[in-house]
Amino acid sequence: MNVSRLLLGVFGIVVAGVFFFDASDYPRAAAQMPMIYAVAVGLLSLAMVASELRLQRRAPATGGSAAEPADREADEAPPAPKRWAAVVTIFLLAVGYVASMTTLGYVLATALFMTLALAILRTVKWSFALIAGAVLIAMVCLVFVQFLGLPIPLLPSFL
Amino acid sequence: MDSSLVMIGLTNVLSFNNIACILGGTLLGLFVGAMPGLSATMALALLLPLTFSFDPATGLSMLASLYVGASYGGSIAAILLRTPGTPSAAATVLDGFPLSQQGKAGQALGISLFASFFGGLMSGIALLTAAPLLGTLVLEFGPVELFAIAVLGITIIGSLAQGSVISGLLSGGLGLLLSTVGMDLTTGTPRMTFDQINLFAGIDFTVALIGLFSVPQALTLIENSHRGNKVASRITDRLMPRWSTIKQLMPNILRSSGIGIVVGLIPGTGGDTASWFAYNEAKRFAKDKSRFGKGEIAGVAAPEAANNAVVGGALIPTIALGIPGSSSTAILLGALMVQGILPGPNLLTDYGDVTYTLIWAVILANIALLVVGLAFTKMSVSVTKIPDGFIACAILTLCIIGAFAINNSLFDVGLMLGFGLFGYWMSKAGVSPAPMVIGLILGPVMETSFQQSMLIGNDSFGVFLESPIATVLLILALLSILQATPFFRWLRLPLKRRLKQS
Repeated sequence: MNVSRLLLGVFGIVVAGVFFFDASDYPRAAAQMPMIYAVAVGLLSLAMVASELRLQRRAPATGGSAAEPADREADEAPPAPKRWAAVVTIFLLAVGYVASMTTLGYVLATALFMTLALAILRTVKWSFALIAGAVLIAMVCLVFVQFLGLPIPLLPSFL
Repeated sequence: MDSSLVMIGLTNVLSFNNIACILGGTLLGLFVGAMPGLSATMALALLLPLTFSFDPATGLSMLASLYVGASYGGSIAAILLRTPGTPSAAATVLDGFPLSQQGKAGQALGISLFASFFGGLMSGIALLTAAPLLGTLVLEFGPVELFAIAVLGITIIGSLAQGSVISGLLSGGLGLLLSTVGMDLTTGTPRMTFDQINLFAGIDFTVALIGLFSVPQALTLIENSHRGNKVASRITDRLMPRWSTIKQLMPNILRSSGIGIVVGLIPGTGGDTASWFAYNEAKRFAKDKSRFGKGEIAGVAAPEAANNAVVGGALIPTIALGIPGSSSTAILLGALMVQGILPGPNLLTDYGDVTYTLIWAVILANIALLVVGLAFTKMSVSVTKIPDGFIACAILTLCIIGAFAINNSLFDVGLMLGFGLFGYWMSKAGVSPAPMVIGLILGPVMETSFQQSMLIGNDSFGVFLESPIATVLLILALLSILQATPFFRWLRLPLKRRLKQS
């Protein structure tokens, strides 16, 4: 059973319910399509939840047949572990980066984000990160700020 | 076909600015496609905000060229790194990597380039001839037929998308639901805005696009990032293939290009389906099938011709019907919308100059691909060695600045990150985000045509059955859903038994 799918199905039911009940207060013309779409999403989400629960009920019955491929896989090298902590931390860093962009300025905020994120990952040489990071920031400033005229402060607001 | 609009489109695309953008877009697409972990769709999503300040012809030319460049670029990593740079280059690995191990990386890349060129050129010509023919048919369509086409588009894309049919349709349904957020144009009622003024105009399609396609890729690269350098095979032989080799492979290339065009026509299928289909057919027609998988050059030519031919094929329903055939063509449609050009059958009439410019840009991009590919393929090898961790962080910074560039709003950036997190959740659940993006585009079209149809039919749903075209389209939509359910299997079993008995 895929827990993400099960939770997505539950989420879909909740979203469909919220849209449906919210739409019931709208005038008829405004309510029609949201209600139709909400019913469709609700039914499909229910179907997704039902199919995952059915798979979970079938899984113990097929447990024996999984033993043979597992024995074969034991001889192969184990896959590298997933870096969930890095994913969560860097995503939160990205949120912080967005929040601090207008206070710290684009250049400083981006440099800080890239430095902290690459320090967490520890898979990139510092010399490469320094040069490539500087090139990236320069190119973004040139294209988005200079060329497109994006109204974003480059330097900190307290300077 | 209106020949004056065709010539206007050609004239538009032949300006110095547009040719520079085509060359630049193709080169950028080449590099992006060559990097494993990145996709053409992601690059198009990131580049879209940049094109806002360009005129429509220039912006579309750049996006179309990037799409064409990335379709070939994926083969570079497939041949040298044994990792497809884009999903549509997966079949190229089977024979491309063994060829590079035999010291024939140049030969493989050269044939990949020429096959991509021929495939893309053929599909561009098909687009130029077929789209207007389909477009004249579609001029007969009214709101009822438009609604039925939009329903068919969503159901086909949902049922053929990666993962199960339920996942695809749920993704499409969520997109349609989210498209209702904002002020209803008929009654002025704010819908699901939570009193947030930033949501009164609805959810910007580009914000959702960047979030759903780019952020999950960055997070997945982070998830799988570990120490260790990527080891790429070196190119020690000549890139330019011999004319005798190209002549020998031409029947294979022509057949694979045809497969790519037809597969591209079907909404929901893309380069990956076309490349595997073409590879299988190349093997079936080969005199010595045992050589496939061990470095058979035809095994490189077939998928590469097909995956580039998909570009033009997928644009045919996009331009003729306003129904995007894939997530990449959805972005091209989004680029048109950003310029104030609404999707629909009138793309070839009311906005014919811009649409024909896009068609000619696709054709010229394939010529640019040949030039850029011969000049820069060897250079793109170094691009494949950029660490995944750095690419992931660079994608996140580009997503953030790209989302900000849309409306100069930090709210949009926050919304983009929210979609990004949701897209990552969807990838873990095995649900494709492509139907969701297409739902966001088709939602307003469906709602407007539905309301107009209800007015025509005096609030009776029977109006959809009064039009034979709409009835047929809606039946096809129902069949596309049912074909993947147990219901069809229950119908097929007694039929199979009867055939066996007879």
